[in-house]
Amino acid sequence: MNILAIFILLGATSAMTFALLPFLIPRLIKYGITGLDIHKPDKPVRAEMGGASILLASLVGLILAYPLLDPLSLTFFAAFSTVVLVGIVGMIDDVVGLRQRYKPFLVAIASVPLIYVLWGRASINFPLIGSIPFGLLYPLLIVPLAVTTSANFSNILAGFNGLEAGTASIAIAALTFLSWIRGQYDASLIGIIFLGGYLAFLKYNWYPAKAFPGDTGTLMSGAVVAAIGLVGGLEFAAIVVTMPAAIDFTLKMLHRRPFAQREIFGNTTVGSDGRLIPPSYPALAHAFMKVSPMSERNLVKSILIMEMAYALLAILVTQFLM
Amino acid sequence: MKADVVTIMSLGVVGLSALLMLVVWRATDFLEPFWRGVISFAAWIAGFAVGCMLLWRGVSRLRNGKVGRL
Repeated sequence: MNILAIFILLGATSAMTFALLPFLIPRLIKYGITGLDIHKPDKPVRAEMGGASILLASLVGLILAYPLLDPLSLTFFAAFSTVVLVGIVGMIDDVVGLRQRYKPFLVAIASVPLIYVLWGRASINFPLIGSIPFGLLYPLLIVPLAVTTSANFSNILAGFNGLEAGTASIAIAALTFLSWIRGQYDASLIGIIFLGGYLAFLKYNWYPAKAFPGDTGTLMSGAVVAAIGLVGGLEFAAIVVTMPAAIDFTLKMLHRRPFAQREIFGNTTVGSDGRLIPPSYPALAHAFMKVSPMSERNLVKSILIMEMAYALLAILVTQFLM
Repeated sequence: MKADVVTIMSLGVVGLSALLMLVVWRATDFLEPFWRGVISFAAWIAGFAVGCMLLWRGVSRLRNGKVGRL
């Protein structure tokens, strides 16, 4: 894969996302696909489902990749299909609102194309341990579990301006870089196509946000991370870049009533000085706010620095210990 | 920034739980690789969950004015 093709694809998908959003945002507001920006004193209404622009731009990326990188492999198409199907599940959720219990099930179904192409694979590489054979559990359990877990983790660590697009951009960039230097071009191509979209979307999602990614953007970013990890044989690196979201999920599960915390404790509120006041249940964002009271912008910066630390750790461990 | 303490603590949690996985892997070399893998992975997840709980407790202590003790 040559450098020129990478830059053309990155530029095309980011330009397409950038061009689509000014068209999409007023229409999403017009049709009521909106959310409240609850961490602002006046709680303005913002367009939800901005991730749809990334999904549409990725299709342009696919059309461009065809002449640039012919022949595209079946593995690439399967991974791309899985990500797009997860994005469609997110769109359905944003528009009609799926029940929480159906979402993991539907995302697992979306991983069927990946299960098909990874049927012959059986093991995962761990640093200092080596290859652990999982046999048929790899395609039948680990692949759907990885896609579902990663997609739902991305959906959980969200809710602050710039956080979703920022963490997605850092995680996808790290895995794309790793897969590219290790010669796993199918995986890196998936990353390049979606990285352009998430980077462009970050401009609209950054504080003060004009659009939220919605479940379309968050579920899809997790699916991209899982797809690159599975296709590129970078499962351990994918686990490491997902760690901030995994910590957030684990902290939330530590509470006695993990699915009713918002009903019991309410949301994060904004003080008169612009600093956030967290509710008292465990969560990663609340841990940052507890240690040092801060504004939404600084909170997002702190979590993005954390994500960068894990991305760097994933690159170093994969390159030097595996 | 004081908030970076959370990142450093989380790296400690991840590192120590990975170390636990490695120790369990080395200690179970009499088992088949599949079961070694399953048990080691379970040890990692268990260590990670306990580590997250300790992280939250640590963060709560920091809030009570004990930042200087770190």
